[in-house]
Amino acid sequence: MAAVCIDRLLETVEKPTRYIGGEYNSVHKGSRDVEIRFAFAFPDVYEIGMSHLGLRILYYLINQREDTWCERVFAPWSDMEEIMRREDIPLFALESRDPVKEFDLIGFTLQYEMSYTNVLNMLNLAGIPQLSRDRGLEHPFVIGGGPCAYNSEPLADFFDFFVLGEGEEVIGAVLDLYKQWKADGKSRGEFLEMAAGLEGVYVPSLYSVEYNSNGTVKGIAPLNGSYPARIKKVIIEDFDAVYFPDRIIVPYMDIVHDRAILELFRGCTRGCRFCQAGMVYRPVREKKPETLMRQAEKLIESTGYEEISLASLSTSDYTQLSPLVRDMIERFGSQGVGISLPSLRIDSFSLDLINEIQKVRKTGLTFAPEAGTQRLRDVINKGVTEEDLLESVGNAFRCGYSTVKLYFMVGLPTETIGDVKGIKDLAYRVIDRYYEADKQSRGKGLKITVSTSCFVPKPFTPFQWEPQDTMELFNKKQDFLKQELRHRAITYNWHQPETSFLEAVFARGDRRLCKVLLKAWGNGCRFDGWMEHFNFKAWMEAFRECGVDPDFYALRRRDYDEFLPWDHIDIGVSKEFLVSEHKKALEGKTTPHCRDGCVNCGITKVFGGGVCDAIGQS
Amino acid sequence: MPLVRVEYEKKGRVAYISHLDLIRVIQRAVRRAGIPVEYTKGFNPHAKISFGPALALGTESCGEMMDVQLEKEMEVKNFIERMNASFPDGIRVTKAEYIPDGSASLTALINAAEYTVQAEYRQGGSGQEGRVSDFFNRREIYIEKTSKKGKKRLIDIVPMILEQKNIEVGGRRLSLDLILETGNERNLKPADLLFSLRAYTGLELENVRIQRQSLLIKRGEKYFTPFQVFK
Repeated sequence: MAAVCIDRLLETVEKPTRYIGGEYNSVHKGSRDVEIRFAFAFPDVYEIGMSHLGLRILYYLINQREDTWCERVFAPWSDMEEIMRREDIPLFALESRDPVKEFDLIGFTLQYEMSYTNVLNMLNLAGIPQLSRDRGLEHPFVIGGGPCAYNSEPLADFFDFFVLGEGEEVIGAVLDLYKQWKADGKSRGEFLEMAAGLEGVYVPSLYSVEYNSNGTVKGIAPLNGSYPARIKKVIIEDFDAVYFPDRIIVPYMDIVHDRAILELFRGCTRGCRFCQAGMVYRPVREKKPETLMRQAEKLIESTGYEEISLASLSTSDYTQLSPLVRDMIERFGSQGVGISLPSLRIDSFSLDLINEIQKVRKTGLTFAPEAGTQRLRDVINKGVTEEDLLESVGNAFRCGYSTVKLYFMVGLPTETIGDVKGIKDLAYRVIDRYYEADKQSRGKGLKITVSTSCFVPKPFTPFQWEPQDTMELFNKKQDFLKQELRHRAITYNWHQPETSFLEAVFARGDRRLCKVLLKAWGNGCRFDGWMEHFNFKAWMEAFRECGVDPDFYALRRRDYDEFLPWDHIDIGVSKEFLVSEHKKALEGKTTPHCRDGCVNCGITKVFGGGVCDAIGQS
Repeated sequence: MPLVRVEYEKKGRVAYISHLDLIRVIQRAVRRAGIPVEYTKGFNPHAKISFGPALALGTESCGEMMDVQLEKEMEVKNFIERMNASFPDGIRVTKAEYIPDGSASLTALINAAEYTVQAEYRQGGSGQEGRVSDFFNRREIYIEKTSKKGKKRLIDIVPMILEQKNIEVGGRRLSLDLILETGNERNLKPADLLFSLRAYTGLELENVRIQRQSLLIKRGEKYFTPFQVFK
């Protein structure tokens, strides 16, 4: 393998540190000392991909193996892409600068639909055929994982296989199998057949899709009986003992989450009905505080980071959050290391914690009521009442805060214009609470940021049967809010519905979208999540050219008995549970928090009774 | 408070780290090294380190400088070893010495830097030698500088070329060893000099490699290192 030479070219790109590699704690091995070359690919720019916890974990997990060298590769920004195409430089891995085309396996992490064209672009830049059927023995196997792999049908033609569930558990078996296959000198097809026998591995080319005359999917079935009819995700049962790196790469540039990250628990006990992560990452599994403390100490020592972030889907639901935070402040405070708590539900308890963390500085607080009225919050099962929220906001103002961010969605199922107006009413009630707070104690310069995003119905959620609002309706609702939210303390941010529309198409899409994706890429689409690159016209052109109607995927209401393109994937949460949650949503009935009693989502039936921490502790 | 003056290299891949990013890289390296460094007070405490003049992106250096404020004195050898163990590849401390209390800052002292340039001409042929030496013998060489406000003005760089230590032109290779004015007041970047060399001589250069050899303090006609002069 000959490494690419990029030195002189780096002077002409916007951010050379995206491409130089060799950061502190990056792993360098001799290419002759290993048997397997693995490229961990994140289909977005360096500063986004490097912030991703999954990459940080899997990179070191794979590199623990002496027979494998795992390197990183990110999507080159447009300036670098232009140079690479002009100078004939193939996509290369950051550590060795060897072309990824010559690697054994490339693993893409699929975090959001709008990164799909980047996957195609990276394969093309690498010189690897985009369609899996065009690849030969000389090409790497292209693997996908991450949340979007749960409905991977719109990517089925491009990937050799997908890994469903928690990568820590599957990747070792895949690499062992690869080594064995290589030693046996078998064909590419034979490897895929062997891989299909691994738990959590889905090989789309070994499954065929049948369609009904109305265009819906009739079924997805294995080509023969030796492959599983339903592919079950893989989970880590003992999460406290799961591998966690004692170091992470310290980047040169300021990445999005430039700090040490600890994972307090996996899964979520809340059951918000719009949230895919809340369903697919079940069951809830916590790490012990002592484990987290030990991991924090190692990370700070090995990175020199000045901040530790306590991450998870809903950090305040960690059962021992308060003692953990206090212990961490005691342990690290004197070293100038700060603690941050993302995804915190703000209540009076957590406000005390925040005050402890931020002894002096009163930065802004973020609340996510998601919907403007109690009726709609009940529909989505967001267990927050208006009184809870206003009381917390009032407390925050009395503690000296003056900046509040409020996050909402528009287009949630059953939403009326009254619910949209509820967003305005809630924002104004927050303003009232500010003026009710004592003038001496409240902070100066009230600033309220209201943000609305456009709801995208996701597979594996109770709303997977729901149509999305049309773009016209999204615009109408947000225009209404632009008119209504006219207060000098309020800044209103809205979301262009076009990206949300495409997300809705691909989130619940099937294999017929593969050709649209390829066409859109050919039309120049990439970095679709970036406003400066997003080209909706080119996308619509691609749908037209392929004769595919995007509305069929985004705007159609599905019946409960329709076969959904992800019904052959088993995430552990039963379809019956999702149906019952959907029915309750339409009736405006809430479902309690998992810790108040098991809601029978099905996860313990699939993975066994002891697997869910919420049950053990309820 | 003990103050250590440190000379370090920045070579290879890390030549493409900007000055701002480099500061963060070094801050974190110091924390990892567990050096008893003095921290600033406030919301975002950071190690008290002050740097010499910034290095242009893509330029390597054998002689970058920084001053590190320590909380308590430690053995210099130990300091160097611990720093080097925690730097990424390409950054390496080559020398460190305690300097007197009340020493002037690096930016206040440094006003010159020695650079070497290696390059190749894109096209062969004769007469290059004469064209290059004509260029360096000019009485004035104007380059266009754009101020931060976007205002353009012409400045003469001849007085900013302090020494021509070596100018070698042979075959297709060009090799320069120059001392250029450097610092906050007046600063000549080798890349700007090469740009006008191309413009004046019509010679196209490729495989250009620029290295900063050392940061210097010019007093009268003499040059000193920042380990020799403190006021």
